[in-house]
Amino acid sequence: MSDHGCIHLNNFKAAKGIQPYKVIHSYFVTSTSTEARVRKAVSCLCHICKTHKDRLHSCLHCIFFGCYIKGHIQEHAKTKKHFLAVDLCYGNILCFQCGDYVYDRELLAVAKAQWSESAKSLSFGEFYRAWEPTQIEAELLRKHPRRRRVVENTTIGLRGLINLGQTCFMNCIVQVLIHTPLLRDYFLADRHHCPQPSRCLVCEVSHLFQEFYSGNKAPLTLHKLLHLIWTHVKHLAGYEQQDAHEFFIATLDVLHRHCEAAPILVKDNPHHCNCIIDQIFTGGLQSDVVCQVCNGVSTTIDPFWDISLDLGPAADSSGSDKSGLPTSLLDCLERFTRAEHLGSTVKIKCSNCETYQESTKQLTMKQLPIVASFHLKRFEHSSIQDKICKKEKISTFISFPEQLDMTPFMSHKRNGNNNSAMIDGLFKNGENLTFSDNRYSLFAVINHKGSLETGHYTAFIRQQRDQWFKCDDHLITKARLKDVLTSEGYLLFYHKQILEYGRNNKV
Amino acid sequence: MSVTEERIQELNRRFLEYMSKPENVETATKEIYEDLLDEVLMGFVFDVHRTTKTGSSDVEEGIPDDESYAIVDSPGLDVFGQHPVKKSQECNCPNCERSVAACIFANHLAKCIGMGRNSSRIASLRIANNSKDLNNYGGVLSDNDDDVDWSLTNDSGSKRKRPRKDRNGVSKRSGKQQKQQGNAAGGSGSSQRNGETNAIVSGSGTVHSSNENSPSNYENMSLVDKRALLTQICGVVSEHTKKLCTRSIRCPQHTDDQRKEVRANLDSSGGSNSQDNLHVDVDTYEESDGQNLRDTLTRWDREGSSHSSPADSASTTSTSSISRKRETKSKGKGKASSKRDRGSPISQGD
Repeated sequence: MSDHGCIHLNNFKAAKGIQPYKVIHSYFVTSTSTEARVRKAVSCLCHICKTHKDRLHSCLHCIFFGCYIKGHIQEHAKTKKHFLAVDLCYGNILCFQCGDYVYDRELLAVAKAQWSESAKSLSFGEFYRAWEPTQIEAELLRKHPRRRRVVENTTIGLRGLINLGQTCFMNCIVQVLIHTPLLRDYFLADRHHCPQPSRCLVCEVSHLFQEFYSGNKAPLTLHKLLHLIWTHVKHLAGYEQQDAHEFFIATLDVLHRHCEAAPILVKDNPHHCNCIIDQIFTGGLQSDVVCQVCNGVSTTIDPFWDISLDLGPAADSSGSDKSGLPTSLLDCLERFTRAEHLGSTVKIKCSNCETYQESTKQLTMKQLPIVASFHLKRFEHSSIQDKICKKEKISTFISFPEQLDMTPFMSHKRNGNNNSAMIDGLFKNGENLTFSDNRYSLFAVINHKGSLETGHYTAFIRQQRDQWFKCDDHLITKARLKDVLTSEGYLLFYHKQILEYGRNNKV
Repeated sequence: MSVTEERIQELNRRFLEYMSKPENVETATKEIYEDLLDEVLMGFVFDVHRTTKTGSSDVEEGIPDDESYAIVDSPGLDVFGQHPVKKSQECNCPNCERSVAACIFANHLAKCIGMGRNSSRIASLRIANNSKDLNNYGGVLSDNDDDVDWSLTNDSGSKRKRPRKDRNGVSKRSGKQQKQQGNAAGGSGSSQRNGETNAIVSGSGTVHSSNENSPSNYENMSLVDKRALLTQICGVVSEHTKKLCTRSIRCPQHTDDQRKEVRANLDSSGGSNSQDNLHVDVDTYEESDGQNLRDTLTRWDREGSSHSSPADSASTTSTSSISRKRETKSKGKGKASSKRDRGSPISQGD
């Protein structure tokens, strides 16, 4: 390990300190202010041949810029005996006496801070930098030289989960979260830093990722997780809680709340949560209520974490008998985003014509989340006066695709047909829409076997692009895509195929 | 600044002039593209150079793990190549720090944290059990004199298995019994009772029977412990139910005078003989009082009988205490005699 520069650089630092490097770096390498950017644009030319390219370097000893390709910086070093130069593209230091670029820990730290400063002055989040171990991390890595790699056909990342007594619902949800690609990237990149780790669910999930990728093959017990969730979501506490969907939403909620405890800096909008849970799971659902008399539309947009889809017969009020029962996810989504007549008994005050009129309501996807979670309502229960009347479990097979395109269910697509107000919006956003790619791929399915009263949850999860595994508590076995697609899905999880940059800047 | 501004304007002017000639556009585009490409490539070269020279790439590389993590795909084995046998694992409860068998942990935790929909009932049942109301075992339950003390069966997680008693275990499955439980518990939802019932039955297949000789009951508490408890709860004995009120010391149902009386009695009697009719008043128990009470109870359990688990005690005794409670309600004081008839080991005579 040599990040101590070289003897020549150290002698220079001893004589003149780090200030010369800092000045050159902040003006002509990173340009941390508007003024610096102007100066760079105007004066970064080779003093000999006036070029702006050809690997321009600055002398560290005096004010001199010279290009490397045509040998002008070398010439300067030789004649003036100024043997240290700074590369103006990346800020690395070239020592002509050593004949190599040299790296000094202190100056690297200065450079790093300047890059951040520069990104800030341009209102970027941060420039991308490949991960490099810090001193402490490097020390740890040297102490533990063995590396487990997530290569093809490896069990790393898979782990069975012990059933703690009817806790298969939790095990399934945890398997899904652990195998959510973007969430995995977040946690394996060690991005969560927490003010109070002992009570934080995010920390516990972070710990679970460590366990899943540890190479340990013995099943894991989630007793701490269960305790944390029950402590934080009091209405779930109790042995009888069994719905995986309810647990999923509650878990996201706690994770979201705990992320807020360790906030990520969002300067543009303090109300918009930018936590990892919201970044991955939150979408926007648009609801348009259209007055049947004046065609006035009142639009609201609500955030959602999942889409619950009805499987039973369509609500009769629309009068169209041909609707029938849905047999596929696409059917369900089509029905979900269909304009629904609210009925003659329900009159809503139209904000446009100020009268109470019959109206239609339509739900569409305004903004898609990175992970789209669909909940097939197999357990229908209607609540009548506090008395919960449970109906039968709906066990019909609902087909769902491996690849799903959500484009037909987007607000602009669905609304374009029936209300003109939206067409304006379409033109306004036209540019964005041309490039939006709404394709998703399936990465997890949760199944429920049994009846309403008793049953068992299992999960199919995808690992490494196209390998499928069945997670049945402690038992993890290989599965085929066909098994997954022919299963009686209860919760379906899709991941966006293409992630766009700057998604968060839009809001 | 004005000088540099002039130079910027000059640069812009020259750029626009240059670009106004169509033949130059292509040249410029190509040059900018090549410029950017060179820069990006240099970035990679520098990254490799730096990580190699500083040694961080070696550190990252490390030594590959010898162990094989290849996926196994053969019938009868899991992906790790293991036979899927359910090993009995244990875990430490984050709440009470006891070691609990993993397969019944959820059940344990539900009671241990005592904050579920069941909790107030469970907490009160625990007190009911501890306060030794033994007078109402008639009907559904018979006396369990010959049973091993529950507080001793839970010795550090390695429980002595006891055959399931029909009266305690199976009978809980019957709808009628559940209904009775529901009434007794003061109307919590039915699904919760089902959960509770399942929990008991599915736990380890074993039901620990309650025992009247549990040392951690109110009567057998030391004076100090009783006083400690009375700093937490109201403690007034209900006229109707003959039970100890477990609400806060400012509970609106009883007056300060009544509370003073209870405490005065305690002091004058030395705490030995005057507690005959202390019972927990389940009907007036409120969830909000739960935490202090639970703490106290946990302390009793730990101090009084260090081997008992509060969670287990709650599940094992729920049926019996509920039945007792129900009968108290329906038959009132008349039950006192039947209790004496049964020859309870603890005297509760009026």
